[in-house]
Amino acid sequence: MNCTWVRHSIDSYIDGELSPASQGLLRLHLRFCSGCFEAYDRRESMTMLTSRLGAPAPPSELRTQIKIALSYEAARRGFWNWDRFRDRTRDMLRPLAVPAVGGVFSALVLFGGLMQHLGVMPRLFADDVPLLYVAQAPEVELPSPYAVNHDTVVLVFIDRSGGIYDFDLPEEPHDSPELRAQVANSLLFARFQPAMRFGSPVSSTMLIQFTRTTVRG
Amino acid sequence: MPELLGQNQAADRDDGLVRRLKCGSAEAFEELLDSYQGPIYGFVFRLLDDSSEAADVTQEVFLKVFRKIEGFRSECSLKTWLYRIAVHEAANRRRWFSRHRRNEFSVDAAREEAGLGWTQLADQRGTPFDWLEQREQIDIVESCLREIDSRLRAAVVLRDIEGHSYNEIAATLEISLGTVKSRILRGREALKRRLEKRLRAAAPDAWSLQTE
Repeated sequence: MNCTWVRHSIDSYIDGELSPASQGLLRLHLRFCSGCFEAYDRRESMTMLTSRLGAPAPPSELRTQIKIALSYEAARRGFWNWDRFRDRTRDMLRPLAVPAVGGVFSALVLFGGLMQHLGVMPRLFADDVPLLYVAQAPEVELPSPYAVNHDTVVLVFIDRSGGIYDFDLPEEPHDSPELRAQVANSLLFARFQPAMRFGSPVSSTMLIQFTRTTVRG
Repeated sequence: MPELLGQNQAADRDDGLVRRLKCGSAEAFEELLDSYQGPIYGFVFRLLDDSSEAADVTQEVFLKVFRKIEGFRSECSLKTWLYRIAVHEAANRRRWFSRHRRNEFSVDAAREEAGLGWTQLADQRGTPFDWLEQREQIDIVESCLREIDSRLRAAVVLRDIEGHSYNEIAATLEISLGTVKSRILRGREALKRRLEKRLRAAAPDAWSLQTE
């Protein structure tokens, strides 16, 4: 341990770059060597003076200049990635955010209002008159006392008063005059209830099947 | 221990920042500017002693970071890498400066020669005498710092003003640890000689007052 080593190590000691053992030795030497202590004191004062300089403030426009230069560089390199895409999309959509939210809210309010009416509609349909009552088929009110001695089907045309104005025998293409006379006699004494549509009588057709039944007496 | 914890947190923050910079995140570059624009500008300003040149070099440093971040392998910290680029860019600018700027006309110098000077705004902190004394001291130190060799100045500025460790300075200036110690020692010696001379000339008791 001599003054040369101490003078050479003062800077490392001030900067905290000496090993703990060397720091202890140097501190011990400074306690007893006034010359080295004065050198240390001056060096420390000067270091403190230098450290007080601080950083000069950059020009206010420097940050903008750097960002502009970076954007030019990015454009030159065709720089594109997800983050930039996201940022640009977000910037682009930001003005539409409030109108879009307002639109969605309005749609919800309108849809909610309509749903109330839509909810009533099934109940209205449920209250409707069933189709059965809207259209009612004609019925035989009083069967004829005269029978037809033949198995056949007769298509009867019934007017709105319940009378018959014509008939046909669809299963008898070559119907005999005898059979036609029997059917005409039978239908002459029968009475019908006319078909009804929305509560009013209307003309209609009706199929009547005659079946011959033999009873042994 | 808190200092070590702080260093680790700063390193973790820089690692995350580097990852996001490599992804090209615009927010990451904003964060980089927030953290390092001021220190880099201050460092370059002390190396070049010209505010407009320092601004140009600072811009060039961040452009280089933008161009080369994808190739950054984290062999050193982001801070060290930034300062290393700044040292190179400042050295390039100084070389260019010495070749091209000899015959340029300075408006500031012309005003000073004409005795016009620039209007200084009053600072309300402390008494005017305190402010003047501090201001004079700071101006003298700044002036003396500018006079010493640029390589020694870089080491002294990084250590005494920027607060870098010897290892960080070695990595930034790409020199050995022994050379760092030597440059800091020689730089401070040179600064001390100039300071003593200037302070004694300005106020004979100033330097002794500092040491009492």
